[in-house]
Amino acid sequence: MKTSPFDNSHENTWCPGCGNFGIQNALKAALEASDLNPKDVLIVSGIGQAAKLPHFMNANAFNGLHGRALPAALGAQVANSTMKIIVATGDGDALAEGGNHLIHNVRRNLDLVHLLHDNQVYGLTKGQAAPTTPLGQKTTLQTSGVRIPPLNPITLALSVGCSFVARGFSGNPGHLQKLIEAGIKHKGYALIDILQPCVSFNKINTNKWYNDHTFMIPESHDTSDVVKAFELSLKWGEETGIPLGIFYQEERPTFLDGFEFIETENLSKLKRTPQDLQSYLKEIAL
Amino acid sequence: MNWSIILAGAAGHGLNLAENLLIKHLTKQGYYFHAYKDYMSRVRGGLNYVHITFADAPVNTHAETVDVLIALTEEAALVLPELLSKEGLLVTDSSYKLEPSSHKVSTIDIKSILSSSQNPKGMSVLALGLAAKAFGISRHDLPTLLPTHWQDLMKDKNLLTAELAYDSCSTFFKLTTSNNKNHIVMSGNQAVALGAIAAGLSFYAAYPMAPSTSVMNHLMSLEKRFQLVVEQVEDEIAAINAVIGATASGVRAMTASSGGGISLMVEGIGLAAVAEVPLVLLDVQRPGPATGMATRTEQSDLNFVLNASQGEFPRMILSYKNIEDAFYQTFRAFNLADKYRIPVIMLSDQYLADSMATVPVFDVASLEINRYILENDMNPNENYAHHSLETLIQERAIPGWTDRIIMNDSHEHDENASVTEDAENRVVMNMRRMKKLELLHSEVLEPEFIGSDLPKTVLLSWGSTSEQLREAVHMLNSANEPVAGLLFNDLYPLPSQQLKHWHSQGVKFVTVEGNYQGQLAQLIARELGIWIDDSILKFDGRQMTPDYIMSLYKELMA
Repeated sequence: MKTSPFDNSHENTWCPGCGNFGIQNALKAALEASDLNPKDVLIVSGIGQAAKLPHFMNANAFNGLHGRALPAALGAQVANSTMKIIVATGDGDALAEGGNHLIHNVRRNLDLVHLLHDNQVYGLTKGQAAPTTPLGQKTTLQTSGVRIPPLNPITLALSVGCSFVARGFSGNPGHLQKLIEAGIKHKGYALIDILQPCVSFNKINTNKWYNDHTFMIPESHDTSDVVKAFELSLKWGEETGIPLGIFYQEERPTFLDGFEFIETENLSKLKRTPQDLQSYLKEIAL
Repeated sequence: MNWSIILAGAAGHGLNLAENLLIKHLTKQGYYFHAYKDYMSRVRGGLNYVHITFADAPVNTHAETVDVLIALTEEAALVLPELLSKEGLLVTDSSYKLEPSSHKVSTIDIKSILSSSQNPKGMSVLALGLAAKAFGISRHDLPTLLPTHWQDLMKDKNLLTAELAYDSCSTFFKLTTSNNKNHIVMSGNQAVALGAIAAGLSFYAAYPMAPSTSVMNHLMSLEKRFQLVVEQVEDEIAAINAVIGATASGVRAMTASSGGGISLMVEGIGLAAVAEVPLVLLDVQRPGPATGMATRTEQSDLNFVLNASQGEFPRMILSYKNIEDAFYQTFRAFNLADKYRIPVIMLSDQYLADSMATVPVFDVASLEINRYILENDMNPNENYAHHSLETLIQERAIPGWTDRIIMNDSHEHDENASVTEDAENRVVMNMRRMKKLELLHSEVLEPEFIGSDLPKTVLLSWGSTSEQLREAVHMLNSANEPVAGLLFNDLYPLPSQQLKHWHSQGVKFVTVEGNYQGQLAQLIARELGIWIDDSILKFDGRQMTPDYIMSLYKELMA
């Protein structure tokens, strides 16, 4: 098996056959292909099966609280913007517990790649509905079927001004790797919604189901046209199929571009002393 | 010697401007002052006032009664004269109905002054002109009281308003020049902001909530000068998690809120503790629970922050006594958080946060930043454990600073922050963290002792109540009452030497606190098994006063 500088020896506790393996392999390959070293990468995650990802690979990491990967990533980016930040969250982490942070950090246009592991079910807590579980689908908790319609992460991201919006599939790691590489290149918020099976708790959205229902966005799609991107994002399910690829991409100022007065890319290394305050105190002294 | 004035009106009258201009003038004349705001949680209307005490020596609390009351609404003229001293002067509009009283009254015609000067929005300069006259400031000095940046037209109009007001009012007292030098005018929240900057702050994230918001305003106003990132985030949960994420990546960062916002931040306190990422957090207390009273004061969050967040972990809790103290304690909190990699929670309150006073220029030359960060880590093959089993006080490695791979984790983890449920490891790591409490005992500041050397009663206070108690102890000692005071900065771990000493002397202990339960009394009983005899408490949303303490003390002793 191919080895990677991003491999580590921690016992992997994902279920055999979990879609997370394909995502992690694609991530490692994309990081390598982007000439990044483990020391240059900070993986920020919350809680959930997806959020365990940094424990199973070799890179700097901040494994924080459920839903809170993005605020921690905001802080980390402010501290040292020379680090390449990868955010790994599940659908619950990003869209339920952390929904507010997703909206506002997309608005901030943090410069990061957000891998949204979207298996349409909760794995860690054993099979309850995720915000992306289809209406009526039965789960271990919602035994009569989910009562509220699902949230579409692509449409949501487009509606709040996400500067890079894509969808991949864990069963097509080669394509996913290319999406992650494009996200790494993109200066701004790269949201990649990643369809993946949950072999333990989602018996409907299986590898086969995804293979049968997904299609590649045609090359003719104009990724700079947000209206077309919206239209495309609404395609889901048996009738229309599920598009994979880049929906939308634009260059716009990142969060830190708004701080032109900060003279360093690595604020954590800026030397500060209490005496920095001296001249200001002199000015306000009466 | 001190004098005091209240400028009272409604929200929207611009009383803050009048206050700032008056304070600036008085400070230039060499006076010390303390100013306290009493305001309602609304943008227009209501009853708002600023209470300025000035003196020829430093003052840390507002005067019990005032010499001059300038009442610019009928409500103010009806409600506030009870705060006037016997000889005090009420200045108000001739059309207002007043309660019969023995106070001297100087009546003016607000409408006529504003219309003659064609300055319908000139209430703040009108108040300034009245205050200037009441304290005998020379009419020639009026132009120098107005903001220098005002354009000529605006200046002329406002000067006319101030002059008309000046001429219509009588003089209460003639100020002379005092001689204070090298002082700054500072609010409690501003002192916090400057303390954080002195400590090397790079990042401040918060969500607006009275009475903590102006910490963010002050920092934002200095953002460019000190290369800060000040971000109004989407909620308090984001604020605390962003601050922890930033600190883990090597900067000094901070957040603040009031109790409601701190409630949302609770999960982050435990995160910082288990990940051993330093955390500096400020709670500017206001009356709770829930929304409570947004613009009022209370000291009721001690029990809350002592216990906030699940599980067991070390934390440190300290409070500010006064504005100057807020600067130095905030600075100190950063060094403590970094040294022990713990949450340090600071308690302020609305009274202190919104008070302004003349304080000596902060002595930044004497301060030193201690980061406890692994700076020169050139050899990644050398042993490093992020959560060392060998030493509690260690230099912390930062992701990206070297070739070393660093993880920070919210789970129970091993010495390299790898998640594990191993039983033996759990015990070792939990003990590693909890043992910090023992080390903190050597860091905590003993309470400041004031008053009689042979007290029968020792009064205990914390936070901003301490300055009221200082004054009360002084007055009680002058009346030959054998009392002393212990004024606490640090609350947890509880400094115990002074308490144990005075307990062994058989004194009576009485806590003086702005809450219902006597939360310091409860803490002392829990930590030391010392039962506090009584508490003098206040929980009406207004600051304790020295007279209040004295009268309740006398009731207790009767």
